[in-house]
Amino acid sequence: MGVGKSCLLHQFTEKKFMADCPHTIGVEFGTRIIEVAGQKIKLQIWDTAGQERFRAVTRSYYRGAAGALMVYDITRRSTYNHLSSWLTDTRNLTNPSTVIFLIGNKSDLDGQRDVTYEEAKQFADENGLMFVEASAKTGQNVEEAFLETAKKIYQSIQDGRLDLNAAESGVQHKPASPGRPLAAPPAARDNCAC
Amino acid sequence: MSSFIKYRNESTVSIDEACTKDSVTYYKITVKVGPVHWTVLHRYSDFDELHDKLVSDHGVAKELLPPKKVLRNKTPKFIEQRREALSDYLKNVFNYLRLSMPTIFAHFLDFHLYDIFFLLQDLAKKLFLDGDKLLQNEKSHKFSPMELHAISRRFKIECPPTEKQDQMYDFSHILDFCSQVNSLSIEGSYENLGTSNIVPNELKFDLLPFKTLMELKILGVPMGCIQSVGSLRDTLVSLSVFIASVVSLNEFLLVDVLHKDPSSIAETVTWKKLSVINFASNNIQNVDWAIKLVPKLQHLSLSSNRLTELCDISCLHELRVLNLSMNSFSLCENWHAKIGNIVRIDLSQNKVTSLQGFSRLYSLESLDLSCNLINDIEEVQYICKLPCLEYLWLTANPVASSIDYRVKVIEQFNTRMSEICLDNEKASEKELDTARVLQALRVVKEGKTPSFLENSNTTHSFHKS
Repeated sequence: MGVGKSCLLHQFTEKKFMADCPHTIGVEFGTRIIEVAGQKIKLQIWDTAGQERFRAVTRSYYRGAAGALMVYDITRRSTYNHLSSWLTDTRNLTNPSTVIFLIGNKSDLDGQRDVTYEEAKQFADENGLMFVEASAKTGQNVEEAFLETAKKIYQSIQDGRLDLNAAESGVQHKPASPGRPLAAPPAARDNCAC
Repeated sequence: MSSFIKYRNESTVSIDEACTKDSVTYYKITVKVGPVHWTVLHRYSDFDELHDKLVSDHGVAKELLPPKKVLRNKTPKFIEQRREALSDYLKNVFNYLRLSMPTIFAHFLDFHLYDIFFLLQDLAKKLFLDGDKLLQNEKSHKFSPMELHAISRRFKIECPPTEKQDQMYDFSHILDFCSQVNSLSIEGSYENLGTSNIVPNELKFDLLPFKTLMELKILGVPMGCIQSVGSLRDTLVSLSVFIASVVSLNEFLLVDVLHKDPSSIAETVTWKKLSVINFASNNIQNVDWAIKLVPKLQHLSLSSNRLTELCDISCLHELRVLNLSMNSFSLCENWHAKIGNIVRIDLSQNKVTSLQGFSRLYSLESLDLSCNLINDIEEVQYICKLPCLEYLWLTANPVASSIDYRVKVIEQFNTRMSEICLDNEKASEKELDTARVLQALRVVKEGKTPSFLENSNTTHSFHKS
């Protein structure tokens, strides 16, 4: 059983909970168009495998990500303990402007909680991560997590911290179909600890 | 299919021969990437052009290329010398650029036709530029088994950071397109691809990236190539599989289930929206239990197969159209017990001898039995009571060459005779008149009162004849 990366993505793109989700092999992919500050933005989301044996494959997807969502399972402390190694990987392989968001998944299973909100919040603050507890099952905070990430990326562009022209920015301005002038797809990449 | 990223250090290039076409000398380059190899033809001026770009952009030494020669450059001796020199040149440059493999060099060696990584780069660019236009287009989008194989493989391989390049070559554009496309067609082949030793139908692929696919057409691809159907069970509406040597429907319907055993099949493998299935020109011998996995089926076409009998498909409550043309049906016994409320049956070009089996298909509106073996005109008695039947084809049966065939068939439908469209044609006034006479004779012979006497205009036609 994983921490629920694929389920979070599924909940975000399809608004449905996937009950018996198989292990992700390599990577999977999902998209959704959202609106931030009146701009249409297409999120391209890579859902990476959590298992150790796929690390080599999933590592090649960090590069060029505008944002990363790191997921642990609040009912299993071991997944929380792995976070620092995942964070090291993420920091090493992305660029400094990449937005990193920490998600404590399975918040619906509060009775089986193994990691307190405060503890994780402190970890997030110390490392400059955004943090939320969510549930892929009920959909609680899932939308928010992705939207907040997108907003933060959008802000970075506005502030000039993220250069659209750099190949690694992970954001593209698309001279799209006649009519609407902008559709910028920031690639957010899910990754995790399990 | 070649995977340069994996076999980078087991890749070689060489020029083994030269050939002359229309007085131009071409050098035949052999590229080997692991177990895959192919050839490319280039003339000297192509090398020259490539060399200029490699020198200016990729730091290849200028003096490496063998020099030009204007006079006497057609002698066999010279060509042989040049072949050797170019071969050395190519090996040199290939070793030098092995790590970065710039796109221009990869294209020169046709990597974009045979290699996973470079083929996908080109595809990504195409879909980045035209993807939106293609998606708006109603037409079905064609992917080759090569492309699908490359996409499936690309998910699972580590891709090292390559040379810095434009985002439009990013793999995500392909996946983005795949996740939105509605209609897909795949055409297979057993012939080697281009000059390579790659056989498209030996390449395996999955359909995982297709999240919203509604229509799938497969032409000549063996089912064994498909490793997973991903989310198609939830989205697919129409499925066609032509000329793929399929023996049983479950080859596709359960393509990703290892043990195709009816007792161990779970709910999760049913096809929730699939309503049209067309498996024309395959080797299907019977419709088996797997059809139950398609509860919403409305339209089933199994034209040009090897069917001889129909199993019980009454579980398909929504089935309306059944095309079984060009099979080997002979006896169609008790079909009313096997099929539900069927509206149209096409059994043309079979070996059907009797109409008895259709006598209780009360919802039937159209029955095509052209090119069968029906001998006796009295067979029509079995279907003349079907209340909804309007279209009937009996042409090219032995019975159709008998005297007054049309009239004799139409006559048996009694009051409904003017509504029947036989062999694409409704009965003419003249035919109707003759039919009524025949009917009268039948009444006399059998001593029964036919229902048409209650009809006022029949008496009128009686006088006329």
